[in-house]
Amino acid sequence: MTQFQRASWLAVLIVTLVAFGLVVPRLPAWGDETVALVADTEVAMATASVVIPAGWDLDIAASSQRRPVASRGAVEVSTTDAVWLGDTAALLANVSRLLFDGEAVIPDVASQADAPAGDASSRDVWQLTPAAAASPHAPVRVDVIREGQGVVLVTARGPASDVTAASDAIDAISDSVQLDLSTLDLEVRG
Amino acid sequence: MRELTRARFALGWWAPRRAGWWVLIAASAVGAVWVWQGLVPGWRDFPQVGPTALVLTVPLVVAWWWLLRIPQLWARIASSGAIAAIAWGALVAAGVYALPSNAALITVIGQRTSIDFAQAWGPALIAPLTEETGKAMGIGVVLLAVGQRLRTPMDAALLGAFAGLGFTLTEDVLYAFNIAYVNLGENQFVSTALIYLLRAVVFGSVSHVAFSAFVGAGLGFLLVGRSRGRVRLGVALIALGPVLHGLWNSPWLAPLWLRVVYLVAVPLIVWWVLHVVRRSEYVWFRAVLSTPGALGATPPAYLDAVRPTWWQRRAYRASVARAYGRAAIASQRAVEAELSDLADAIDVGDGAAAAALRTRLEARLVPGV
Repeated sequence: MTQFQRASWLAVLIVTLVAFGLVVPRLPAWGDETVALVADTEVAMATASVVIPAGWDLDIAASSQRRPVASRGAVEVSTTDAVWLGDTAALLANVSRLLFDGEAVIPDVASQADAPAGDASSRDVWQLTPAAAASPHAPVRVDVIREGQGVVLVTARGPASDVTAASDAIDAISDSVQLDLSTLDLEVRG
Repeated sequence: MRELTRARFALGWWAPRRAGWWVLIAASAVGAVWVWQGLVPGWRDFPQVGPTALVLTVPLVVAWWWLLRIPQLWARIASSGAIAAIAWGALVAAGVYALPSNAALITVIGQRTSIDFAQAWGPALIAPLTEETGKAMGIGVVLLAVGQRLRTPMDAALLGAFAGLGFTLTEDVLYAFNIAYVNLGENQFVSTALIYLLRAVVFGSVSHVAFSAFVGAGLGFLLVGRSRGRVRLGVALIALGPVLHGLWNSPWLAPLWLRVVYLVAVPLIVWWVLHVVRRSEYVWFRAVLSTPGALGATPPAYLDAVRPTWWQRRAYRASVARAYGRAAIASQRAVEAELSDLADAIDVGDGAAAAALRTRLEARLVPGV
C-alpha cells in the first residue's frame, strides 16, 4: 500500500466517521421539530392510522418513523401500534408494566367477555391511569384500543390538569384510530 | 481451500504504529457504547430478548463463517482480519454510521418533503447510504490496520462481506428488540426466534453480507482491477449493493410476488458477481506467475493445472483421479495450494517464502529434483 493510498483511506475514514457520527445527527436541528397542523391530518403507523386534529403540533422525527407524537401546550399524545395474541387482562397488565412500572389502575376486564384473538370485528377501548404510587413521569392516561390481535396505545403525558382539559381532543384521537393488521410488515428492512 | 498456508490481512492485536489500528480501536469503542445505548431500553423492558438473540447469534456466525470460507479459493483471509472487519461492521458501521444517521436523515426528509414520503421512502433512500458506506469503510480500516494492499477484487469483496456479517449481527439483535416492542414482549423467546428465522433463513439472501460484498468487489475493481472496463464494472458493483438494498426497503416491492422474485434474483446476482470476481483472481494468478522474476516464470503447464473455479477444479481433479488414481487428488490439491501461495508470496514481495514454495513445488513436480 503506497503512502498516497494510506493517506486517502485514512482521510475518507475520518471524514465519513465525523460526517455520519457527528454532523448528520445534528441536521434535524436545522429544521422544524414539529409541524403545526392547520387541518385534521391522518398519520400512518405500521398496522394502523390515527387522525391528529388541527391545532396540534405533530413531531416530525417520531411521525416520520411511524410513531405519531402530537402535542398541544404541555400535553403530549403518542400513539404506538402493536400486536397481542393473548387475553386482554394480560395485555393490560403488560402495558401497566411497560408504561407505569406496574403502578397503574387497571380496569376490571375479567367481568367482561374478552374478544377471542383474531376477531377483528369487535373494538374494545380500555383506559389505564396511574396509581397513587406511580412515578411522576408516568403517563396521565393510556388508552388501549384492541381489535382482535391489533392493538394501539394512545398515551397522554403532561400536567394532569392539562391532560384532563384536553380529554375531549384525546378521546377524538383515540376514536380516530383505524387498525389494519393486514399491513403488518415483518419484512427485514436493513 | 484448506491446503493454503498463507493468509491475507493478519492483524496484530497490538499495532499502535498504524493509524488504521487506532481508528479501528477508537471507532469500535465509540460504536460499542452507542450500540449499547441503543439496546439498553429494550434490554430493560424485554429481558429475555437479549440473551436469546445472543444465543441465536452463535449458529448464525458459524454458518456465515463457513459460507465465507467457500469463496476463499486463491487466498485465505486471516481470522484476525476477518474478526476486525466483523467488529467494524457490528460496532462502527451499525453504531456510528447507521444508528445516529438513519433516524436523523429520515427526519430531514420529513422536514423537507412530507411525513408520508419520509415514512414510505426514508428507509429505502437512507439506509443504503449510511449502512453501505459504513460497511465499506471496514475494508479500508482493515487494510490500514494491517498495512497491506488489496491484491484482487476478491480480497475487498471478502472483507466487505465480513463487515456486512458484523453489521447484520448487530441489526438482528436490534430487530429482535423491535419485534418485542411490536408484540409488547408477549412471548419474547418465540418472537426473537421468529425474527432470526425470517432474517437468517427466509430472507437469508437479502443479506448485508451480499450487499457489502458487492460494494467491496466494486472498490476492488477500481483499485486493483486488471481487466479493461474495470472502472465501469467497479462503479456498477459499488452501485449494485445500495441499489439492491434500497429496492428491498422500497414500497415498490410491497407486492409479495415481487419480493419472491427479488429473493430468487439476488442469489443469481451473487453467483454472477462471484463469477466476475473469480475471473479477476485467475487473471491475477496467471499474470503474477507468468512474469519472469528472480526465480523465473512458472511454466504454463503448471498454471494450467490450477483451474479458475471451484467446479472446474473439481472436474480437473476427477480427471487426475481417472488418470493416476484417487491418491493423486491429494497431490493435485497440494499443487493448487502451493502455486496459489507462491503467487501470493511473489505478489507481496515475500522472497524467502516464494523461494521455499518454489523449492517445494519443484520437488513435487520435477522428477529428479
